[in-house]
Amino acid sequence: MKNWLNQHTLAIKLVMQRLKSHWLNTLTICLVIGITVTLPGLLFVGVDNLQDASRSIKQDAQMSAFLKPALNGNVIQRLINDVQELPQVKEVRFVSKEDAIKQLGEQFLQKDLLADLPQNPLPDALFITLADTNPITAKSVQDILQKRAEVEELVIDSVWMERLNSMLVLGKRIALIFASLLGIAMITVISNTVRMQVLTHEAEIEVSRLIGATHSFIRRPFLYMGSVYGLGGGLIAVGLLFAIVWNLKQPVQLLANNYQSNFQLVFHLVNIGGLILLASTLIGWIAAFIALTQKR
Amino acid sequence: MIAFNNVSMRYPNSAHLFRQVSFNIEKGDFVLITGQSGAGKSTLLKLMAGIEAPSGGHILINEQDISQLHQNAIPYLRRRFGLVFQDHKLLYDRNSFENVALPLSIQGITGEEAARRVRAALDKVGLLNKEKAMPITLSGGEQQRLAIARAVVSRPSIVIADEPTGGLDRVASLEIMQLLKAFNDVGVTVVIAMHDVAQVSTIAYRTLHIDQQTITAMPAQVGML
Repeated sequence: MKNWLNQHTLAIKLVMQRLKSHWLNTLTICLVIGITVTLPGLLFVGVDNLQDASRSIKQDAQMSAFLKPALNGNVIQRLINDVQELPQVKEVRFVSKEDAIKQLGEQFLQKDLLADLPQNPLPDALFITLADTNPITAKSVQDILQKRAEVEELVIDSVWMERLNSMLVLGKRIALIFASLLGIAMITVISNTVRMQVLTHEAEIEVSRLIGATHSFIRRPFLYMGSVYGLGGGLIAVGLLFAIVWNLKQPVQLLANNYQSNFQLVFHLVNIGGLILLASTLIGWIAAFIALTQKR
Repeated sequence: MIAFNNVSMRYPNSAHLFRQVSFNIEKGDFVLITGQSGAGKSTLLKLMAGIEAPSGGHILINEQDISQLHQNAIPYLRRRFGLVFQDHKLLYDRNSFENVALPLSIQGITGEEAARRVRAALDKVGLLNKEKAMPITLSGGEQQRLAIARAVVSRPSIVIADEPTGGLDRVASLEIMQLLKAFNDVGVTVVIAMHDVAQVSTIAYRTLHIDQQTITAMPAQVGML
């Protein structure tokens, strides 16, 4: 066990010495890998943020029921009561057409919007918050409300939510394809670098083999080298992504505020950062393994 | 200790180097393998160390048939040998100390224990004062002594040397042979391939002579300078 640990420690020390002695070369390779990893990393960060945003939207899954004109207050109240009693409904908020036009006027900084119009074109409306995000819940409430004579039009927010979800799935898939392609490029870069190192240390390999080095003893430093290149590149990529997100955070927040959203761009260091480090280190190891299995 | 039983050897697309040869090397022997260039001296050493596999027959090291060994066991077999090559096979980007420490690190021996053993080996070959020197700065004789230090640092029971005095002058050659004899005197079996036995001075040795695909074992004799 002690010998095994010694051999691993020795291999790591050797790799670090070699990388340090050619630090500029090491830095260049890590930078190339880092930038290669950053590109799909950005896509993943984007998808991750959109997913976060969609989750917060899902929590407030809503349905809007626009009512027929000229309904009296009792009819509307009865409808509100009926909807409130539905187990699929969490909350019902009534907005009269007078309040709606007022809010619209405030949004457009025009206090008396109605003064310029012959009559209020907006209907009375019920804004219904559903109990859960299940599409079946939305469909059942929709079926009930469509049968009600008071309701003229129903707008179900879950339709665009489903579209957003589909887009997120597509985005994830594109990011994955992109990552796979760049992963292959990364394997090629690291593999060639490790192969060059193998050729440089050919004499040492030959001597080591002759005096009793095992296959794994000879391969170990090169496998560590590939992993260190991957890890180094991954660290650069995480740093770059962190800087990019930090740089974009404020403009994105300003943009979101304009749409009455409190959306914030975030970089999940543990999840995304950890995944990037793990994947890049693994790719480095695989690349070195490929370089070592190629026949000389 | 080393037994060749009906061993034949031929490289692909070439004639036999030797056919069905048998001989024994006992523990503590000092053996010279002689023969003309291309006779197969180096190949014989490679067969002993498991670097090459015979075309036929059996090679036994300490009664273990090495031709039956799994490929993964070969490195462990080689650790029982100390190998010395004519071209030294030193690592020129590492200093003397690091060169000698290589077999130990292969076996996972590092730190104080390794340092102690490396210095002892360097001391035995008279290079303790040159442990920081790069091999390129050493003379041919010193480089070969460094190679011997590397061969003995892991305390092998057999030292195999392929033309260890090749390219060295008479004085340096004599030093190398005396050094190898010193290890033999403490019980290490030494097998040397060389074409010029005149370099063996007052050393008692056995000879295995390769000629015409056969090996002839000569009786023990004392070399004359």
